[in-house]
Amino acid sequence: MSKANVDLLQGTLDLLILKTLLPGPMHGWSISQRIQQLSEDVLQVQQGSLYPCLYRLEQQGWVAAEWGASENNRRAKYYRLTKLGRKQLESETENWNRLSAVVACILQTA
Amino acid sequence: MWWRSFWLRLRALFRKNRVERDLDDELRFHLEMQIEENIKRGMSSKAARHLALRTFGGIEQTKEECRETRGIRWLDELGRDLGYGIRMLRRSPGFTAAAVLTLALGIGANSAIFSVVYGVLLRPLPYRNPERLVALPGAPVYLNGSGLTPENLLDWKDQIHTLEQLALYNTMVGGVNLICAGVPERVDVTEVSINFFTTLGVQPGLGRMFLAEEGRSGRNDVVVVSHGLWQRRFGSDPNLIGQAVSLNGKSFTVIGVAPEGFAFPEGADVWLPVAGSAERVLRGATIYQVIGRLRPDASLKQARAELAAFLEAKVEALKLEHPGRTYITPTSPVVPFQDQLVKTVRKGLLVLFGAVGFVLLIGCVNVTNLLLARAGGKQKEIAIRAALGAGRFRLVRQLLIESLLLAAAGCALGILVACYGLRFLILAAPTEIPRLTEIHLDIWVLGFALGVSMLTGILVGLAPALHAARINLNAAFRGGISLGVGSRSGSLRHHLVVAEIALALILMVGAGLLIKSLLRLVQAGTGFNPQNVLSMAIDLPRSIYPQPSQRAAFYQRLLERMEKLPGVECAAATSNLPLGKTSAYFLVLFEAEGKPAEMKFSDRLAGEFTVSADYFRAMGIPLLRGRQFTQKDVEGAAPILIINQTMARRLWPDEDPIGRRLTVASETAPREIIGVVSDIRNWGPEQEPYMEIYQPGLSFLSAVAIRTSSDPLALVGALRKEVRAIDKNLPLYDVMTMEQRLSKSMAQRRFMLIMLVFFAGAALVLAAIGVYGVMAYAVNQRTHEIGVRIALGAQRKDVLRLVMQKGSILILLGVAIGMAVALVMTRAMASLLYGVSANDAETFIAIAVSLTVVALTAAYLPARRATRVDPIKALRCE
Repeated sequence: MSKANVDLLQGTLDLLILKTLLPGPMHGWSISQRIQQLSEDVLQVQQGSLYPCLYRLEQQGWVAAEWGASENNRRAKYYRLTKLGRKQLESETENWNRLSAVVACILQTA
Repeated sequence: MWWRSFWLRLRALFRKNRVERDLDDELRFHLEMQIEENIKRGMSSKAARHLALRTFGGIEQTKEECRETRGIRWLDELGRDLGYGIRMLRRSPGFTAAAVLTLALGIGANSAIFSVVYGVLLRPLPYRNPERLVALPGAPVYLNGSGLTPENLLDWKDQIHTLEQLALYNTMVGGVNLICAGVPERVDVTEVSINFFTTLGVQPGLGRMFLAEEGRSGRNDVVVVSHGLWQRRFGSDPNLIGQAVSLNGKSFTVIGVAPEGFAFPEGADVWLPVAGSAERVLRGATIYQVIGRLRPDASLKQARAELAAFLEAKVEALKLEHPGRTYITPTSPVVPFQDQLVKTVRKGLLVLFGAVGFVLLIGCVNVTNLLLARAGGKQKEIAIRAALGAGRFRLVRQLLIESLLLAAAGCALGILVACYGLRFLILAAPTEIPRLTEIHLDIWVLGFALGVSMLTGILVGLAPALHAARINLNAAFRGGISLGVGSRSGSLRHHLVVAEIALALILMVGAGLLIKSLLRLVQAGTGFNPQNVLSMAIDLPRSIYPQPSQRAAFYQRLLERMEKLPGVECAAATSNLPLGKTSAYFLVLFEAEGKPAEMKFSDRLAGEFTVSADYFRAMGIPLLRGRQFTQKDVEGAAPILIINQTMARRLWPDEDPIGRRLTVASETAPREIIGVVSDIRNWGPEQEPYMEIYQPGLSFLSAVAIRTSSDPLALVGALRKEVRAIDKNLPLYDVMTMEQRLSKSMAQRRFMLIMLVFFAGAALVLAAIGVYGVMAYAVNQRTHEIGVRIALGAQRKDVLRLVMQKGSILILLGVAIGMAVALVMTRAMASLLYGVSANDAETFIAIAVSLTVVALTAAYLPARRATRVDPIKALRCE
């Protein structure tokens, strides 16, 4: 598969961020690195578009932000998943799985 | 979680710097990490940086998007627009001052008039459940005087089921002498039925209100005093209850004090219970007004229906008793109380309110024109904004904010104007306006001012904003003469000027019609000669002068002494003085000899005067036929009469009434008619003359009129002395010259006229300024063109004609439209006019001509400047 710059929809980016935060709090840069890692470099998220997304997630209460010290002792803003966010992740994952199953079904039968 | 988002938004709003810095730090951190990563991969620091920035995307854009999610962007923008607007306005102080001042005066005047309209017409009366109060106009006169009287008040109330209360009050608030602890004072007294206060729902401030038994004669020697009188005269003495006071010689006990601020009917200081036909404290005819309170479950319609049926039944019963008589029944027997109270001033106030609204509109037109002219000069700036990405909506919003700022400043200043204006209005207003004391600036007026300002701001700014946002980018950047823009906004400006002129014309026509009405009134006069006549009312207390002969003797002496005074041409006394506090005369039934008894009832009522010998001479009432009373007639109370012209014409149109006989009221012997005098208008020039009869006599008089050879007021002192010489305890009251009385009777009309003339004048000035401004701007725009024409040989008058052409057409158009609209609109004020039709041609033409002249002059001034344009200078400024 060639590297493709896929323009992700907002909703899906939300989902990805939430999933990435599941193991524990991270700052913005490591989130973008992780997403890139997990997608095996297929998804090159425009790094800038990450932040407005994070802000929105914060507004909606799915993540909480805190300032802390980074690995190299620099001031960084850490995001962690909230309980609400965890719930949202579960329901969204379910939806997404269901949707992709249906789409796959339709594509197969067509 | 909404509160979380709300908290974040709030934080973003108030700790903006902090939040911005955080965002900055965060993004910088990200970039640094990315750069480090890139360097680790083996790039040079410069290349690493470039790559990091590229993969990140636009930093500023990201920041903007982050800010957007915070959701307070619009507030941010608004703040910026406001700041910008304020700066722009500060940069052109002349324009700002002119606009703000115009708006302030308009908004202020409107708010002041609205205070009056609200306080008098709209605000609910300050009584319990005021919407359930009704009035029965003319009730005592129903059924030819067999209607409602204090005696049968209770009966009526019991029989009318939709009303739970029915009360009377006497609107003739008369003066009586109050003596308490030996000190006399004149106070205003009104008679009321005992349930008067309970009907209105007024609780006593001190003591109690009337009891049921106090309505009966013999038990009704109790009074309630007003709060004001209690403070003024009795020093707020809490022990006043139970004390005795003397009113016109009769003793009364004070049983209560009314609550503060209650003074209904206007000016009443003392209320006493009316007790039927028993001894009454007040002199003069009684005009009772009837008020009632609807039952909680009854509606006005039901009450009306019931009362109509009730009266029908009574009429039937009376017809059986006295067959052949006609009875008066009113068309609308029950009306809401507030309506009845403000009936006389409602129309006038609404006309004033409309007029001041017009003035504001004209002011708005001027400010709009100013803004349009200004927008013309802003094209480059707007074009740049548009190029930088400002959407059309944003542009319009920015421009609207400017006009709203102007309106806000106008509102603030306008409220100040309204404050002072209202104070002046209340002072200058004639006291006959009901509820005058209830007018003040309150929350409703402020709300009105704010609302009007907002509407004004939007109205004034919308057209220029929409127009400016339509700027053609290319044309603007090409620079040079912006003919395209000028002509489009020009036509809007022209329409506005036409509108201005039309509005001003309508206002001026209204004022003109009122002026003519007043002139006609003054011309109509009163039938008597009010010049150089001093007059006053005298009240002889029954307790001191119980016998009619004593009263006659008093007046005899007084008149004799007064005639001897230097400067007095003749002195007379009367039972009722026109235009005075004693002007209400009795209407009496008469039977004319030789006339059928089946005459219509209303043809057999006449106003009755009792006068002394020189009355007609003193009042300057011309004698038309026969002779006047002599001293002997008066002293002997001869059975004779003088009638007025209306009566003579009505009863004996083709014959000589002299020598005919009339039987008056309950008298047994008929009286002979010995003379006919000219009609007078007892209540002022607006009244149609009634039938009136004059009897000679000295015993039932209440006022004195003295014709003087020079200034009447100079004799007031001498007059007092003479009265005191006869009876030192007798105060004079209502001392005025007849001219003063006449002037007072027209006070309301005159006041309204002054206000309307003032507004019309303001409208004229504003319209003239508007015309001048538009013309000056047009000339300015065309300077280049004019320069070319002059260079090519055009004469001054050619230039003048060129420039004035458009202007004159606009002015004439405005006048024409104004006339057409005025022809329709003045019909609404027809009831305020006297002797002038609402479409009076003379007034319309005169106003149209004067407005045209003024407007043309206003247009001419800048046009004249155009003719003096130096062609070289004009051609040079490209």
